[in-house]
Amino acid sequence: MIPAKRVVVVGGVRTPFVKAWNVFQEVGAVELGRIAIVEALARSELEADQVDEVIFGNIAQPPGAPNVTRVIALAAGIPRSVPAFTVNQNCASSLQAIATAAQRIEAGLAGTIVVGGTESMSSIPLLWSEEVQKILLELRRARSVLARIRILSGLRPRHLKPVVALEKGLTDPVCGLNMGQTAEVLARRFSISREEQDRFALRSHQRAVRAREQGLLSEEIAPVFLPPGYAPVADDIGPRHQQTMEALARLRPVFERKHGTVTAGNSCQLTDGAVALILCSEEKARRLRLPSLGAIRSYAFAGLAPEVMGLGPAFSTPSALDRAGLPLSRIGLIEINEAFAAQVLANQIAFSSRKFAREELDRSEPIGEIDPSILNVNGGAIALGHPVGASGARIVLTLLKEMRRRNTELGLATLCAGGGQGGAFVMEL
Amino acid sequence: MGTLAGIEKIREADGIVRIRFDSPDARVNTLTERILMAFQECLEELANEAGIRGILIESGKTANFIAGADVREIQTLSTSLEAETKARLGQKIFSRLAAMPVPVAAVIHGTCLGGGTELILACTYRIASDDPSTRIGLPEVRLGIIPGFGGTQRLPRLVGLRSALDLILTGRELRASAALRIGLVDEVVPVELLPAAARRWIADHPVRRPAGQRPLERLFQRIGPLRSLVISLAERKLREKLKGGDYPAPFRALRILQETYGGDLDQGLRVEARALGELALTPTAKNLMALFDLNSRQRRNPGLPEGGKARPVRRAAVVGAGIMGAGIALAIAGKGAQVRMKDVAVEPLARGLREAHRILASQVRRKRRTRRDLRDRMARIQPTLSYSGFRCIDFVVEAVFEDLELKRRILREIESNVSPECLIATNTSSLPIGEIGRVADHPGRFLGVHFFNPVHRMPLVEIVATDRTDPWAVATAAEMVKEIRKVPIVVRDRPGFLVNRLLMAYLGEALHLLEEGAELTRVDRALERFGMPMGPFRLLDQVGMDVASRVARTLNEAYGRGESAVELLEKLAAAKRFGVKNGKGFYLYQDGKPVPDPEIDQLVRPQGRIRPAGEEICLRTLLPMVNEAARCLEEEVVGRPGDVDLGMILGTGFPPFRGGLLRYADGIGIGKIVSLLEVMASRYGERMAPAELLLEMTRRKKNFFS
Repeated sequence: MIPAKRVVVVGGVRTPFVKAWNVFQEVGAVELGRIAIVEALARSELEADQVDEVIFGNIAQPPGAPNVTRVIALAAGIPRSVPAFTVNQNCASSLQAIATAAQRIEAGLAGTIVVGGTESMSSIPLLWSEEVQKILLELRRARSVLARIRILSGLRPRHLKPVVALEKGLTDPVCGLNMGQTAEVLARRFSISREEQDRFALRSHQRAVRAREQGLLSEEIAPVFLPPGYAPVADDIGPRHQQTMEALARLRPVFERKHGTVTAGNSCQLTDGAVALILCSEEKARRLRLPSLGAIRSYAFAGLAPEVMGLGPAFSTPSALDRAGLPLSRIGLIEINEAFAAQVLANQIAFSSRKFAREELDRSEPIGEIDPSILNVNGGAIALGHPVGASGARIVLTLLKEMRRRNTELGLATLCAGGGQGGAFVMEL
Repeated sequence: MGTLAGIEKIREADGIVRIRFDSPDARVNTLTERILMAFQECLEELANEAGIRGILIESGKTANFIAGADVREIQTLSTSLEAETKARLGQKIFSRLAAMPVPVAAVIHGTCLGGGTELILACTYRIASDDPSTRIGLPEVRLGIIPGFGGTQRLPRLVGLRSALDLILTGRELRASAALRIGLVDEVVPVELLPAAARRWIADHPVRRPAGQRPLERLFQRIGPLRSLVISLAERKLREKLKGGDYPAPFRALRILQETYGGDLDQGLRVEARALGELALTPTAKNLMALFDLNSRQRRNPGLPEGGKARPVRRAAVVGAGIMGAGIALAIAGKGAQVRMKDVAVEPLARGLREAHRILASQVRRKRRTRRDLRDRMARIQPTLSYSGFRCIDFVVEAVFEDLELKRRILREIESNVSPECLIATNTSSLPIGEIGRVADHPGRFLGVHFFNPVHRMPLVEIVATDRTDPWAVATAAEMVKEIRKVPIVVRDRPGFLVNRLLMAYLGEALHLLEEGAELTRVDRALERFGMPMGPFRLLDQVGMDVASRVARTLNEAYGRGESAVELLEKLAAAKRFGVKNGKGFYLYQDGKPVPDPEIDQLVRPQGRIRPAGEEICLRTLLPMVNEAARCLEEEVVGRPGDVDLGMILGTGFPPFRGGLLRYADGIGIGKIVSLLEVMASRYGERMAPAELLLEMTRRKKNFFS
């Protein structure tokens, strides 16, 4: 597929990724998103009034800002005449934001669109249980004091226990499994051992720590100054320097206590963070003399069974490659979002499996072999964290920066999304 | 329908008559004598007309109801009898208004001040819009007078004694919501609903029981000693605030209320008019009104060069996140613009953000600002360690440490990171702008600004044009300064510009007094009694000897009028007496309070002991300032004597009731000043020799303000 107008990424930046309930607890999704946009525009030397639209991914809508993108855009000084909307496709949200923006630019509807994602997993609220909600609603309807007392007498101490919306959000309502359990399904189905998972997790940390020390990550990070002391947070908090196999091995499985293999150590971290990218038509970028980080070659989204949602990359990548007219072997650098070590490893197996290709994708040939040395070379979400609505844009940004560094012509960024979906982008310099 | 010199009468079919104030050829309505007469005529006509159900009083201006009486008319009055007569006329018309046979509702949108407020007080109902432009107040005391069209009488009767005192004594303006809270207006509605709401009040015609009729107020009205208690509490607060400055008006207002509250209205009005008559002719009133003129003139024209047209500033940046940089960034963010703030390292950047946050947080604590406002303003300050984003900036203020070489280097850095059209200003209190700008590739867009510390409190900004600065750049900087609600004053690039140069002449002479053996507390006290917000030595402690000695050195190198003073300052700086910031200067500071330091004599080594009279101390220190101001006018540092006065009042706190430095000089008489300076020159040194301009003014018998 050759796009009608080539869409280039002219700049991008992200906030540091910080474990939920840590220093970003009170910062919130709006402020994180604002900082990402402001810095992305500044570093591209682009005036805010050159922006035609803003599209952000976000999953846990802040209760006070249902269309969080609009709130962010205005706070970032984007003119109020510029429309803004939010997309939610779970973990693929910000990939979908990029795709939607690309389509609008390809169609000539816009010249410059700011895309990205923001997530404050710290601020996901606690909810009342349905039982309590019902009682409160009845209470409001009650006319007499007596009726009110009667209704209130139905309250029990257990009702005080709130429902954690985060847990609810991470549980698939269709198959009833939570995300960690879907990773257990993959680990069992593809016979991935606990040790393999831990080894992958360790590698993620080691690579992220190295990238941080070499200053590679700070190239894509804008520091956040935290009020009221305004101490800056300039680095991701996730990557652990002292991570060892022994420490990983000591962790108990979280999702299936008895036979499970998925632990907090080999899963991604719950994280707060935001990413902003600036997409431009190639001609506008040239006109404004904006240097290009890279261009979108092709993209695809795919659906699959919710209980194996982690295989999203294996389902979406073939279509993206087909649209690019490329075999996987031509791809020089790959980012697969690390929701779980088991899930990435399962994809590696699925990519190279003829059986998987035949049975699941209806293709005679396997997608291709993933060379571990070009996969997530600067670590992934296990070390850096996974602010769900922002991760798609993060892997595209990280991929492009590394492609530039290595002068790699073609790259792939792909991820899985809860609910059983996958998204894949082929990027080129 | 008919228009009578700015008053239009519109008859509606339902028996409502709208009286619309709309002064021709003016942005705001003022109650000139002509307008008042027309209004009276209008009321007389309507009073005798049948079939009228009610009257609405409204304004034809966009964000102004009535701005008050015409200050120029008051300034031309030459006897207190005239002033009293004028007040009586206004009172009579407003009493006519209060006695109309049908209900009258004031429809208030925009500023409603002074006479405007007195007008609405005489209406049956007052309905105000909730627009932020709607402000109601009695600012007369700020002009050295009191409300004279019944304000001191009708306001307390409506809102009660304490609320009335608050408004009359401070002259502050209330927003609609606050006015509603104290009962000054009856209802607040969105502007679109104003006419309908006012008509409803007229149709319903309810009887209101104002706050001034509550039981407690009854007690204040009937029991003199109780009233005195409230009044004396207010008086004590007032004295604390005014610190002995010559401001008779608010005290007079207090006495009027003591005497008249609860009494007969007509009698009260007579007392009020008499007091206004006396106050209007006081030097304080004359001076404050002249200052009012200066202020509004300065807003119209801050002394711009010919042919400059301001360019729009959409995005600004500040380089250097120190106290000044952060203050400037915050001021720009307050105007609603995004501002990038750059520094070289994370820690100074964080410190700058903390400083901005600290200022806003203290405003939030004092309920001057909402949390949301704090958040929004902070969010507009974009901290950065690089020049990223500077290509899109229209206006950069460089506010790094005061060092010529550093500022040059930063200027070059900025120039290589911004577009050629970007205006660049260096913020400095003492460095020569032209010298810094020598390295500029585009010297036409480069100029100096001098923000005063602390930026969020000090209203003055000196704009320093070099010989090479383009007129558009000066105009743009002046416009920007106005937009952040400060007063620009354009000065020529001479060392010390205007304010610091004059101030240093004054501080230098105070230091000479000290060396001659005057006690420093005595000097400070004399000048504080003159009306300066703090004496010269307390001021030096505020500035800090490190900064003051540097500025003094620069100025002495340029003008050579006070070597020994510079040396003394340097000696103190070397002794680590930095002033308030390290608790030790001319005074010692204990919990922020200055206490005399017996050791200071060992540093100063006075020649003896002298005990000059307060008057002498003032002349000795203030006349060198007048002399220096004359030299500034000669050298065209500023073009107009008014610039000097405004600059000194806004920049140094020179007492406003004195009208300004040069108006004070006029009061003494230029001839006398020349003689005094000549004597002082022979006694204390040539530095005191009168400037050529003063000599010439004496020869031609001229004043600064004719």
